[in-house]
Amino acid sequence: MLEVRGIGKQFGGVSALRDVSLECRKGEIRGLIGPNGAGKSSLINVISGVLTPDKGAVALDGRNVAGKGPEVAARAGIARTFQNLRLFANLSVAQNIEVALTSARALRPDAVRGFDLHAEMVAFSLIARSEDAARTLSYGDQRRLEILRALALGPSVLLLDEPAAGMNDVESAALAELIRGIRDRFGCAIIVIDHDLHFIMKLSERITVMDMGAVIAEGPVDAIRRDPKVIEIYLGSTP
Amino acid sequence: MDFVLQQILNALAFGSEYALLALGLAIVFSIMGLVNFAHGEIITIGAYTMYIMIVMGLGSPLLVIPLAVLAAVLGALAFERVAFRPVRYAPTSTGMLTAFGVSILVQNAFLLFISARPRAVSVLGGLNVTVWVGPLRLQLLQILELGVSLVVTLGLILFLTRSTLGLAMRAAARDFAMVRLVGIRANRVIATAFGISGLLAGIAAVFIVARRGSIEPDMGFMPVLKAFVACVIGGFGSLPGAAVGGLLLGFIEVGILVLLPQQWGGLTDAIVFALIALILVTRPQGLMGRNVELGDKER
Repeated sequence: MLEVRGIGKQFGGVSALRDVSLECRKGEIRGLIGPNGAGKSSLINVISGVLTPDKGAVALDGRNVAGKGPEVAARAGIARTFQNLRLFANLSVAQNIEVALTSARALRPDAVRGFDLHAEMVAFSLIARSEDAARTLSYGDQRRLEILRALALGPSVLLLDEPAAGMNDVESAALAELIRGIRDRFGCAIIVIDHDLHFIMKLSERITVMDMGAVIAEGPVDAIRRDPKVIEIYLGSTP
Repeated sequence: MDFVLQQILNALAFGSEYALLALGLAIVFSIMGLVNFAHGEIITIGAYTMYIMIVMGLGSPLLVIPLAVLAAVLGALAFERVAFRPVRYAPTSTGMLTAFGVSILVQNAFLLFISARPRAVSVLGGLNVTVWVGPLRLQLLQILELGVSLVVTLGLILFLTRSTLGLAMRAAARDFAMVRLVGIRANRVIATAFGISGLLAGIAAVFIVARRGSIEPDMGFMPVLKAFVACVIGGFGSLPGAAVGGLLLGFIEVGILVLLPQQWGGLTDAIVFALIALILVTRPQGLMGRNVELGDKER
C-alpha cells in the first residue's frame, strides 16, 4: 500500500505541491486529475524519487522512500512511465524490457519470478516487433512498451503519466482494458494521470483532484463527478 | 607498393591509438555528458607508473605493462570518485572546468614530485624493431598497436552488446535518468564507464611510451586533443563514431605527411584541421552523430 503524506515542494518560491496526501491500495486504480500546472506530474516525480520533496513522506508498505533517489524508489517497487516517452530508442523492444527485468531479477527476485517476457510481449501486442529498435515503433506501440518496461520491475506501485495522450477513442479504450488486466494479473496499485476525464472516470475506482499544487477533492468516481469544486475547475467540460 | 602498405599500417597504427583514446572520451561523454579533458592525465599516470617501477628496479615489461594499465584504470576510477562525482548533476561547464582542474593538478604533481623535464623510459624499446612479414618490412610496434586495438575494441563491442551491464550502459547512454528509474545504480554505471576509459587510456599509454621512449608531465595533452578531434569528426558521444573518427584522423595525418612536400611539413596540423573543418561544415553533427531531438519535459 502506498501512502503519500504531507508532501510539500517549492520551485524557487512557487509552491508546486502543498501538503499533498494520497493513498493507493494494492489492486486499486486511482485517477489523478487536475488542470495544467496542478502539480500532478510533480507529485509523480516525488513518488518515483525523481524529485526530492521539501517535506512529507512517501511510504510503501510503511517504508519511507521520499527523497532517496529514483534507484531506491525503483528497488522498493515503484515503477513509472512518462508523459513524454522515455524509451531507450536505440535498443530493441525486447532489450528495453530486459534492462528493467535484469535489474529487477537482481533487486527484487521474488517480484519478477513469474514474469514471462515472451508471454507479456504477446499480451501487449509487441511480439512481432520484439527485435526492432524502439524508435521505429508506432506511437501506440511505444506507449505500451513503456508500460511493459515499467511492469518488468514487478512493481507494487505503477505510476502512469498520461498513458492515453495522443490516442484516439478506440486506442484509449483498448488501453483501459490493458490497464485493468495489469491490475488483475499483477495486483499492483496503479495511479493514472490523464487529461481525458472520460477515460479516467471509466478506468478508475477512486479519483484524487489537484489544483494549484493541492488536493481539492478525493473520493469514488461518482462523488467526484458531482463535486462542485471539480465542476468549477473543469468549467465547460462536464465530467 | 611496399611503401604504400607501410604507410597504410602507419596510418592504422596512429588511427587505432586515437580510436582507443576517443572511445574512452566517448563512453564517459555518452553517459554523463562530461568532456573529460583529464583523460590525458590518465595516460600520464600509466606512463609514470612505468617510470616509477623502473626506478624501483622492477623493470620487466611483463610486470610494467599490466601494472601501468592497472594504474590507469585506478586513476580513472579515482578521478570519478574524488573529482567528478561531487559535480555529477552540476551544469556541464562545471564538469569540464573540474576536468581542467584535475588535469592541471595531476600535471603539477608529476612536475613537483618527479621532474619537469622528460625522463627516459626505455623498457619497451624492444618493441621498436622491424620485422619481416613475408616480403614486407614492418614495425612490430605498429602491428601490435593495431592488433591490440582491434582485440580491445572487439571486446568492448561484445561487452556492450552481450552483457547485462553493457546493455544497461547502452541504455544509460540514451537516457541516464531512466536507467536509475529501473533501479540500476548510477554510481555503478558511471564507475564502469570511467574504468573502461581508464583501461583504454592505459593501453594507449603503453604504446605511446614505447614510441616516445620518454615521459613528461604534459605528455597527455596532445593525445587527448587528437582524441577529442576524433570524437568531433565521428560525432560526439557515438562510440562507432569515435572509432571511425580516430582511424580517419590517423589516415588524414599520415596521408598529408606523405603527400606533402617535405618543406611543407610544418603545415600538417593546419591542413588536418582545415579538412576537419570542411567535414564539420558539411556534417555538423559529425559523421555518425545523431541529431539531438529536444522537447522532453523531464530534461
